[in-house]
Amino acid sequence: MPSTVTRAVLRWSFGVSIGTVLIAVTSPLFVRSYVPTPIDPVRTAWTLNPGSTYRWRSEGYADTHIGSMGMPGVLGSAAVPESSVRGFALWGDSQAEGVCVADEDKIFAVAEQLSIVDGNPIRVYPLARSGDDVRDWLMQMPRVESPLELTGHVMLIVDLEDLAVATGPSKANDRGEFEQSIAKVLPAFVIQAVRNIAYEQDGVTRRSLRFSVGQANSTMTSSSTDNKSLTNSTSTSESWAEAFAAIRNSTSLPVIVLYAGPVPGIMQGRVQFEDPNAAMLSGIRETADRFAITWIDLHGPLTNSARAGLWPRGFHNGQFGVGHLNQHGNKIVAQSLIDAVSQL
Amino acid sequence: MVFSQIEFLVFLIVVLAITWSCRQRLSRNTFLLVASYYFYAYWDVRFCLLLLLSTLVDFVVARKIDASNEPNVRRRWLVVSLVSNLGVLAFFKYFNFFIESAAFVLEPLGVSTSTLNILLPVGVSFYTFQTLSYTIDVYRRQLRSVSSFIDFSLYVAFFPQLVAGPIVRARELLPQLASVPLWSRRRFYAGSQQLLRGAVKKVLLADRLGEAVDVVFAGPELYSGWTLSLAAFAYAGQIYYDFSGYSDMAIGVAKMLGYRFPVNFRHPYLATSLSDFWHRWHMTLSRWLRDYLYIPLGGNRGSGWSVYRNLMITMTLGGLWHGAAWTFVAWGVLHGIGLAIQRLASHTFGDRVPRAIGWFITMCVVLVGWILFRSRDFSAASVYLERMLTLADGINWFPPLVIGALACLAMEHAAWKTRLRLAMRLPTLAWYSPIATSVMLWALVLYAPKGFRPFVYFQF
Repeated sequence: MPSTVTRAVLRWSFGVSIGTVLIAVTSPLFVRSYVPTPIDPVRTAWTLNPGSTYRWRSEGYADTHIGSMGMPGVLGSAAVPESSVRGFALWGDSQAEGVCVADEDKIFAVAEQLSIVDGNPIRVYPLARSGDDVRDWLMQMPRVESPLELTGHVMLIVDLEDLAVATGPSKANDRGEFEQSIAKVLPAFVIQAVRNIAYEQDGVTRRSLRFSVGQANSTMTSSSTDNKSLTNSTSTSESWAEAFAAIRNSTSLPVIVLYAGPVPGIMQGRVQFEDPNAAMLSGIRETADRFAITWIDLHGPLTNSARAGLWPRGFHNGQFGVGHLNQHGNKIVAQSLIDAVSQL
Repeated sequence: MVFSQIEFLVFLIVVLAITWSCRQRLSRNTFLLVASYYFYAYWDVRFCLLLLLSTLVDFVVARKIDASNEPNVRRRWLVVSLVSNLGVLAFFKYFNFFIESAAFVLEPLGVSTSTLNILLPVGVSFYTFQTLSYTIDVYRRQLRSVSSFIDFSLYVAFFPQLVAGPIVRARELLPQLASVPLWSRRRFYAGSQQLLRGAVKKVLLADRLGEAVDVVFAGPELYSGWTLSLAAFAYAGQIYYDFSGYSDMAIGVAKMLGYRFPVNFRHPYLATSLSDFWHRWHMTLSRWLRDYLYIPLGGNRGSGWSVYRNLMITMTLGGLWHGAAWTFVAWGVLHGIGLAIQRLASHTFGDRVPRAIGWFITMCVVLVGWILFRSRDFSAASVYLERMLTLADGINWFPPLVIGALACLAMEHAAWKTRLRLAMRLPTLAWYSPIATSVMLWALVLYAPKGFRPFVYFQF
């Protein structure tokens, strides 16, 4: 007969295992996936694993199929279009990547659909990756032009900072080896649990524990989501000229920049329709013109949509007026993309 | 330090290990006292002096009262305690409120006023009420003054209940501190389960509800009537889970250390009348207000009008205790009026009001009260109520996890009335206890909302 202690240990071990299995089975409903990110030989940049499915569960809820060259939302390989169909690469960060919406609602898919309806079909290659900025795109642009037989490039910019850093060193491919290796062996819910414990809420800063006595501030929390405008160092016309020159030097194809700034937004319970960077936008547009880069400001259509009650940003499981573009926002961006490429 | 921080878990493990290894009462209580002051100093070391001063005053005053048979002397010492405790509360919590309120009257007359940059010492409302109850009980000869300063200091500063209650009375805790509690594996287990339950309530439910509540209450003019209704329910859920979660954690930690704390919540949204609500919501505050304010004012004795007056004074001051703002006062007044109407109705109609109708009316008053309680000012509250009641157009936002948390609230309250009530405590030998414990632990790590969110009642 096993002792009471042994029975208790066995009972608890069994119970904890069952509980863990329950969590493992149900976690795909709530926890995003972690997939290995190999280096794509053409782009020579890390991409989501082709053939895999990527889950996104917070702020939107979607499964994204990863196609060739790590293109999110593309089923299978991205076939090079017939010569009559023009092809465009779509660059950007997570806003353009669009893992929070279903494949058919992603910008590239909507743009392709709209172009078919317009009778002037185009092919859009979704090459945006979460966390990327212009340095990453400039590095990859020349490499994909020939294999994809591109007609032009389209960049979706939400944060001007992503464009202003064109002349700095690229931070691409600095994904940790450790993260890569554990993504192959550990289930997503375990990785997520470890991340939640080991990292601060930004997911990047290592959590540090404080055990010293302290002195309180007047507020116990600070969670400001205020709009930020660009700093002086990046807002001069010279620095914009440098940025656009870098873009122009990296490709001879047409380049369209779609600017979908942070407004319309809801900050601290207030609707904001004025872009904090509005004062410098006309200067940026003029500078872009000088380098034969098309600058499209989406402030008008995005604001009109919000005024009509269709907020272009936010999800029911997030918050409306902030965060990533939703299907309404993506449709507005896609329509602007179609309008812009039709002018080329 | 906050119960939902990882640091607290480390602190608790160390405290449990050392406390249970102390065989002597003096060493055990001294260690717990040091740990409690460290717990408080973790937030702000400067306010430890205020805590010590408050402790010292009431320790000395109670000794003086107990030692004297002269009514005048005893009364004089009681006044010293009342003035010093309420003076601390008035200065730290209400000074700027009084100045700002006075400015409304004085500034049109050309008298300028200015506020001070005062930081509210966390828990001051709670430990002030505890020390007051001790001195008043000694004055009423319901309790003998304690001779050990360590024991009394520990009673005031005991970390599980220091910053947000439950408001434990001296006659409940001091006798327990007079001896070393016996180790009980069953009690320790029950305490740890209650701690875990409290953490789930706070982190998974209250904080999740709070995410939506903060956004909607920041701009009620933006959202549709349906979303405002959802957010009002969400706030009712948030404040319940936040505070009852904290109470569960406090009671659970005390249990793990071998002490019993009084219950603070008993499923308040099952209440079928406002008086029933106050027998279920923040019960230790309700009975404090009853015993040290309502009954001394005359309570239910005297003419009908004096009872209504007593009710109004008690509930208005109860509202003001929650926060230095007129919205809290209005919340207290609303509950006072509600209790008065309920009393009048029960005298007029007897018990003929069906329970379901009583429940519905009670919940309507409570919900309107929470909107007042949460709104930043009266104009925001009126916008909120108007838009909610007229089902105004606006952003329709229905966060699924908020709806899920509210479903949890409804199911938990419903289950309380069934045999599931016992099962929800996860008994030691029940087959499902290890499974449920494991699921709760995983869920806490995986599904906690991002960002630090302090307990709502810390601000009171």
